[in-house]
Amino acid sequence: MPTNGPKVGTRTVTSALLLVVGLAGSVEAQTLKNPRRIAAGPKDLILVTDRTHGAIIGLDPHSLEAVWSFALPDEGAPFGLATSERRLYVGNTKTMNVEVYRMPRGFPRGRYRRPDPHGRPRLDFEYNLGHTTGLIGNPISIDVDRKSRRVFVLDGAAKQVLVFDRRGTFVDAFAPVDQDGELLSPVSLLVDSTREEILVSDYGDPRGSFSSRKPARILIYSFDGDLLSQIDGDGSTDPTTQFVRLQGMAVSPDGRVFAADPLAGRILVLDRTTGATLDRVGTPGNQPGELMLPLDVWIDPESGDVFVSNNRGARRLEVYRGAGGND
Amino acid sequence: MLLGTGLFVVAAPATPAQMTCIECHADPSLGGFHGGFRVLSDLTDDQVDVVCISCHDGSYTSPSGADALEAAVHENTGEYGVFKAGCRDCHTNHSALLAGDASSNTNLKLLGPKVVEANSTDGIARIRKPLIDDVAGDNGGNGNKRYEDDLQIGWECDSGIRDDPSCIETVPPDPGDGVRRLAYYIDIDTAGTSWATNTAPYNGACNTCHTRTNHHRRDDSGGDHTHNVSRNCDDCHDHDAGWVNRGG
Repeated sequence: MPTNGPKVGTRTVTSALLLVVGLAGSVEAQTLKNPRRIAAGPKDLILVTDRTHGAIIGLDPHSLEAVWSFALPDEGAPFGLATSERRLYVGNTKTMNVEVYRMPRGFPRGRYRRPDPHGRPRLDFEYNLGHTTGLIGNPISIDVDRKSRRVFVLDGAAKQVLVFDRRGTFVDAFAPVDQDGELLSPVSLLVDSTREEILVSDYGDPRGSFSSRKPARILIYSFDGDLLSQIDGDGSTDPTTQFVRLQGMAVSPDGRVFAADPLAGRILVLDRTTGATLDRVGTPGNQPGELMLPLDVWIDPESGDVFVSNNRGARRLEVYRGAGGND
Repeated sequence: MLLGTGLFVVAAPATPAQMTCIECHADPSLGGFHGGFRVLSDLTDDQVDVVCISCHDGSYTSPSGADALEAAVHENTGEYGVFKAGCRDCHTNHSALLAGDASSNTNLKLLGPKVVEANSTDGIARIRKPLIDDVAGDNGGNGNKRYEDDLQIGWECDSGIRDDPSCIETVPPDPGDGVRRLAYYIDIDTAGTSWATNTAPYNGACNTCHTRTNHHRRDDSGGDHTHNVSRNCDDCHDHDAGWVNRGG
């Protein structure tokens, strides 16, 4: 297993300075084992779901040291993750609920700052989204519109996007179909509050003959669920744009789409209009800075730093300093 | 396009997946489902794990509605320190295809070879034989763990090819030559507690490897064979969390 240590090296990738930083935590519970979704935490905290720990791990975005953890009660299985100003939304794939926890003012200072290796809740549970159970089949991806504070949940089992208001009341749902009206295998969702759009990454459809297969793609919807555009990964717009798999996404302030391709071990930087590949971040491998099964991307809007959950190989967060800044 | 308040799409019931070759054999360097193929025998175990988990990460439900069951690699526990049992150490990956009709396959979890079929008369477990003498890459190979019969269709060593020399008998497991042979004497979907067999030979899928665990070792060297015998191992040791027991 790769060891977690201090800074292990630097290298230049495309135009961005790649700075690889390992976790400094020596306590097992503070070491990422199975990192998945990333979300912005309160100030100076970036949050990651870790399925093996059954916990949300909080990392310092500068040092990437694990400084906080929160194990879901009753051996919960965290997957989707999002935050709003005062709330933490966790997709628990054991209970199949999106659990809403209140983050107290000043969090994560004081007692909330200390990691809890025993899994005792340090956040107050408020409610399940929808104020009931059984609404969601598999809460694999969650995001919040920063303006309206509506919460969007991708239900991977039912293959639909559920919309909740700021109080957690169910508002509506839509099925993320493509331009042919087909419903395939959506795996991740992203809310672009600036453009009031919802991006859904889709695994595609490998069945059938060569010509009938549908490649992995990104579908872009309005907040009302109307399909606006889609980026096909079949290379038709750009021979180099060929998605193998797709997972989590992020949008840079200037509108570029960063999409994790877990099987190819890279992050594709895409033009949202043409679908053309503008750049790539990361290369496949299990050495420092290389990606093996990247599952999510998050961009710090202020620094432009790109954070990637590197699920296999190094099993940590990789950060590509400045790679998500304006060109 | 909104479906309207309170109207939900009902998830299709989980059905056995009939996978296509391109799902595993797509070559990332040649694109996705419309790209080229690659064989997996040239990949490292870590790379094969990525191929598997890229679908079995818990987020994927196939277009037909079949769930790709969530899984994580079994590795790095307190008893054993740094180790890894990769996907192919426990799973065979062509079983469903060989069955032709996935709905009739009795080994849906693809847990190792179907070493003893329902109509077996000799009761001897047979598995593919690991070939690890090139593990260091000394013989011009890439140092990956390989199996003699990687390229054979039908290497499950079931009744069709049970006399093939690539199949070895593994009851009881004998690591005396340094080669860890895995023996799975189960039909995982109907065997119930046989994940860890509690009577000799201890060759259930879980305990065939275990030499340091508190319970259900592969022999009588310690521990006991009575731990939760009426339950399946993954009731507590979740595969989707790498088989760890998080204290429940």
